[in-house]
Amino acid sequence: MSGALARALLGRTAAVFGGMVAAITALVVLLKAAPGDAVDLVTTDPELRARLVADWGLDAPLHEAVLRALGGQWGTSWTLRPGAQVAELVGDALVQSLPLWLGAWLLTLVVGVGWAARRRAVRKWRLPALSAAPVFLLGWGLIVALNEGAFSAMGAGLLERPSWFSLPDTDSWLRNALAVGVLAVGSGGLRSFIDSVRSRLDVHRRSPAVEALVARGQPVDRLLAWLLVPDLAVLAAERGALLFGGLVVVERVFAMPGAGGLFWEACVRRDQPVVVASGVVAALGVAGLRWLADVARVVADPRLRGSA
Amino acid sequence: MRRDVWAWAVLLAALFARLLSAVGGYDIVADVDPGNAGASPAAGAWLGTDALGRDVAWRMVKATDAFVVPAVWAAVVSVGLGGALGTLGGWFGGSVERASGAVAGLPGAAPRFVLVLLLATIFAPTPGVLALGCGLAFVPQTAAEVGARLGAMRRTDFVEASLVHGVGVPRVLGEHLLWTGCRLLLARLGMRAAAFFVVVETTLAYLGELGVQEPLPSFGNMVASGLVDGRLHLVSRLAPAIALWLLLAALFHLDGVLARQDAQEAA
Repeated sequence: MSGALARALLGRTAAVFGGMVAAITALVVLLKAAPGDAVDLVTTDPELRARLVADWGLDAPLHEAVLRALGGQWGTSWTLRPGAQVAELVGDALVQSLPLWLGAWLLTLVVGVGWAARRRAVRKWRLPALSAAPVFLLGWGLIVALNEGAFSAMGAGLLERPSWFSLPDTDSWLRNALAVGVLAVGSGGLRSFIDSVRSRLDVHRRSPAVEALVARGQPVDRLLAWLLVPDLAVLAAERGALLFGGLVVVERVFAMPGAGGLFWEACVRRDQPVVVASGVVAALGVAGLRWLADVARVVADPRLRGSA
Repeated sequence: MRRDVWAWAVLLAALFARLLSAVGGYDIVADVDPGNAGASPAAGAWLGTDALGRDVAWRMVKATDAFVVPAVWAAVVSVGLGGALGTLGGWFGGSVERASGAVAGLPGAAPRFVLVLLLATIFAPTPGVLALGCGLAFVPQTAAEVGARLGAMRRTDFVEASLVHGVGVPRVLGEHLLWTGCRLLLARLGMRAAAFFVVVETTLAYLGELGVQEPLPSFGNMVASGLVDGRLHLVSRLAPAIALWLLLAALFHLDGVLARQDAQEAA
């Protein structure tokens, strides 16, 4: 590894993870500054209150609270599953959410790049129009249409009860596939990904290297693909980060277990340790994706090594 | 331009509905009429009635209370804070650019929806907190895009010439760079923050608990009630969903229109 590459990677790593630590510190500061106290929700007895404050670490100084949050010492759940280790809760939920997130991310990449690479934008309004609907609305539309369509068909004797009926309560391949599709397409995510890839492709198509090849009548697809790698790394990381947020909605709409649903429940029931743990894990996921994207960019494009 | 008329019309309709909601005198409690539940669209109730006999059209008008004004605030936060940080970084460059970039990047450490939920949990899921969260969620992007453009324009000959000829920095920065060079960019980024607020508000209302609660209407909780109550007329069930989809499609479409105009002006 060259010195410039090593320095660039070190600089990017420090920037990405430094930002993450700053964000988690800000989260802990906000929690400490928030009005009211979580213990007030549980008891007014001064003795019990003092014990809970000590047990839950609410009296810990800021630096200790930040180190605990970063170190994965999140303690036990307060209200969601009282007494359960938060690290285990969040870890199990993450494992359940991973296939959904990964499926949606890969679908976005494949469909997005394929769509953006089309030279003729045939009926280009179709997918963007669909993609404008929020995740919950797409999920709602599909659930209503499939349930009522199947119900009518069963009533008319055209259909036996399908294995997936009725959505979203029955765990089935269709429910999982719909969740992946909705997460990938909804809330304008796929549309903005396609627009961004197309815009970068247009820039590269106008670059002198590509125009020179075109003038000589030589194929440019491989060069374009290579030029797109650094851009694609950043766009894919951004999209991946946004999908973490989408998990919350999709898992609720499709009644699926996972990290998104756990985070939502923790927010609703004000289970602070689970909220903090979910926030830290999300920040870590975002930072990890950005770091991977930076590494890919710096490795693929030597011109970026001096700017780190 | 003619192809964009529908999007402007949808946006104007949302603003008009908000105005109508303020002056129309619709009473969400007095409108309850269980005897008229699930009525078909008619002259008295254009879009039919819901499971409690309430006029769906009026409730849709009232639902704009939940998002029109807070969405504007989300745009103001995003453009104000992100634009200010981007301007600082783009104009001064160097360590100021790095510092403003680090500050602007803080909200971007968490996914946007997660950031809003965190703020709603720590404080309260009020429209103000949600608007602040949605605005903050777009600060990193706004600061980065404004900073990059200002940084490039700062080094152009006309800026150097203006400064050498004694034109003040506020005028060069405000009129020549921000207004002439960045107004469409800022409008587009503000529109994105506003659209995100609409998505967040309706999503939270659909999911319940942290969003607008019955009997107050939101497109989100109206869609949710249409999901569980199949006895309602199809028009009554679909109307809030279609209105929400149209509004977001219009905002996304205008985002694209502004982006194209911005690119043309830049060229």
